[in-house]
Amino acid sequence: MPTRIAMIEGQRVEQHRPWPRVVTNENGWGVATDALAAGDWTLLGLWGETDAVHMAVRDHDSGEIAVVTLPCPAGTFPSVGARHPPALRLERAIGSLFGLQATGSPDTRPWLDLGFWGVAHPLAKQTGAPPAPTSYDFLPVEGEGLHQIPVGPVHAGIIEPGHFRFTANGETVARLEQRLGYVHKGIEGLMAGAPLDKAAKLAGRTSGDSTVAYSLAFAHAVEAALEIMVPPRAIYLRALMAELERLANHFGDIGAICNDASFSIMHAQCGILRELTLRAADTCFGHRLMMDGVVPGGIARDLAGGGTGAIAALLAEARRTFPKLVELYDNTASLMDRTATTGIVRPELVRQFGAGGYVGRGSGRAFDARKNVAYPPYGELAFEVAVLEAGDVNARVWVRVREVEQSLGLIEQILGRLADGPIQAKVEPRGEPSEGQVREGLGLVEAFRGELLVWVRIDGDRVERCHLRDPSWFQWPLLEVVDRRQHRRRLPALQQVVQLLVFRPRSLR
Amino acid sequence: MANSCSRDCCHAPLTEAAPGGGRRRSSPRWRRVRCGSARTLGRSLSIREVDAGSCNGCELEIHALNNAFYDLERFGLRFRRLAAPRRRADGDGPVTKNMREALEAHLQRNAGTEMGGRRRRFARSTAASFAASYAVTGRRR
Repeated sequence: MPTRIAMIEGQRVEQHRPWPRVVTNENGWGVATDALAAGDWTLLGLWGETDAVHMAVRDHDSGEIAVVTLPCPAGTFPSVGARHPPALRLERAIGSLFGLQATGSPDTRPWLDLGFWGVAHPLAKQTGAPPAPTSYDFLPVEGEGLHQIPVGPVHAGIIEPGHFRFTANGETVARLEQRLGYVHKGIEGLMAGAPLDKAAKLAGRTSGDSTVAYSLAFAHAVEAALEIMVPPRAIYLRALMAELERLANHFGDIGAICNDASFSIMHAQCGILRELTLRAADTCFGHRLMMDGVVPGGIARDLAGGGTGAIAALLAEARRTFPKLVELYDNTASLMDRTATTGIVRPELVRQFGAGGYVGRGSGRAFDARKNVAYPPYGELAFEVAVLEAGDVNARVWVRVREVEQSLGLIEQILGRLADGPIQAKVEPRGEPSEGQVREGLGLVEAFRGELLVWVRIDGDRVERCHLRDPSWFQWPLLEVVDRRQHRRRLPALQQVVQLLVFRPRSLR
Repeated sequence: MANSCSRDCCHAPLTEAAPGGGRRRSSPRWRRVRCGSARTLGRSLSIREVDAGSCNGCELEIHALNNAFYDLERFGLRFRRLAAPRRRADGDGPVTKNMREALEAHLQRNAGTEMGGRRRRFARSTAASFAASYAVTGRRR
């Protein structure tokens, strides 16, 4: 029996790999929206072009992935967000960047565009004059004795910008609304028309903490589009970089979460492990964050001479100290009091939003692109995906703890399987090069924060359009509806609820 | 429990000596810089860092400066939080148009704050790769 994804009517795009793309009509778009609203599919991404909108979806049961495209010559498309709220901000971003309007959407306010660009719809075929300055209408809150607390975009501490509007009565927060996009740099605009190497660099600079994951997802998309076979050694070394990045971030964040709960010894000790991980990465690949290490076709630098030894030392030290830190975390009642039952995200919301990473897996959503998409080499490696049901800060910390343990095991397996060989394949389309042939690819990679999607269309040796979707897009909205009843007496400051203790999501680029 | 664990985790100090040992310290240039900085800045320096469009790699590494290996505070250098008094502010990476107004307002509110720093050259070089964008200001303020 054909699956529901295969039944979407329309024209299949031949040059789109590795998953199918179907150009459909409003009818097919409606069927896809139905499947999303019914919870049969998860929305992986929704992005625009000058004259079309695309959505990437995944079928829960079969695990199939597809891209559904709706041409919109009139500049409008039927809103997905009207019936499937996770699409709302993505649609608003499409409206701001491309000027394509989602008809029937309950929320048509701009997103990312804060009115400072000096141009309207910067990525549209015909950019508009800058809109007249208007005030941004935060959602109304009704009730007695309410007052608003604006926080940001500039925050205390060394953190990323974002604006948070709390509406509160005393210490009870009635509504939290986010306004993001302060560090939007127009990366997708810069990528349009850029040669592949420059585009790869831009992808790697989208988010410094996930630079390996971004470069990897971009490389996967390009390699899928051009049908490039990556040499095995490069595949394993990429996985090594990705796991080192995951380790470093989890170490840092576990410490930071404890620090926000006023338990600084964990912060100091986890900081040591993070530093050791970054130093091992530097020894192995010549850069602490391994920026530009992954390139389309393979990797830029081979594992350095002392790399294996540095990693062995890191693994030994992590295996020696990390279990003790976990024990300390688990046995400190004052810390537990602040993390357990705090910031509960309901499982049904996590499923609806398709929230990835520790946010999803801490609330029972068993999705990990390394397992469920099983991109190489993870199909050949043994590891488990930790899933907990509680949905609180404590569960998310435990998911990270388990992921650290799994990553340590993965690194060991990777080193054991590492064979000699080339590290870079030639980046050119397979088969006869033909003028003006457009190729498209989709990459889905598990960053430490969740699954990361990159879609690319390549014309010759240049990127025609590239879309990068950070995992945070589907995590931020959940922060607005997180169960706040427990927060009042447990947390030092409202802002830490938002920025640090609950998710540590990413400013939207 | 915490005691036994901290004992297990404790070892000889990990903090490393400042880079550039005796040889550089005896150079005339080092003495000039040291005297100059002591005259204008005194013995301690508070730095306020604002992310105005970085990729967050800078923030990660600034955080790392405070870890047990580098312990920047022992040199009298401190990255301050918002409410604390400060004498210098350093922006990170290119400045996005969306952040410019907030950054300028922040600087005005902290009149007397000096802008810039060692990392300015890096900020300028990364800014170059984003300069063509509609969303990034062409120059640093």
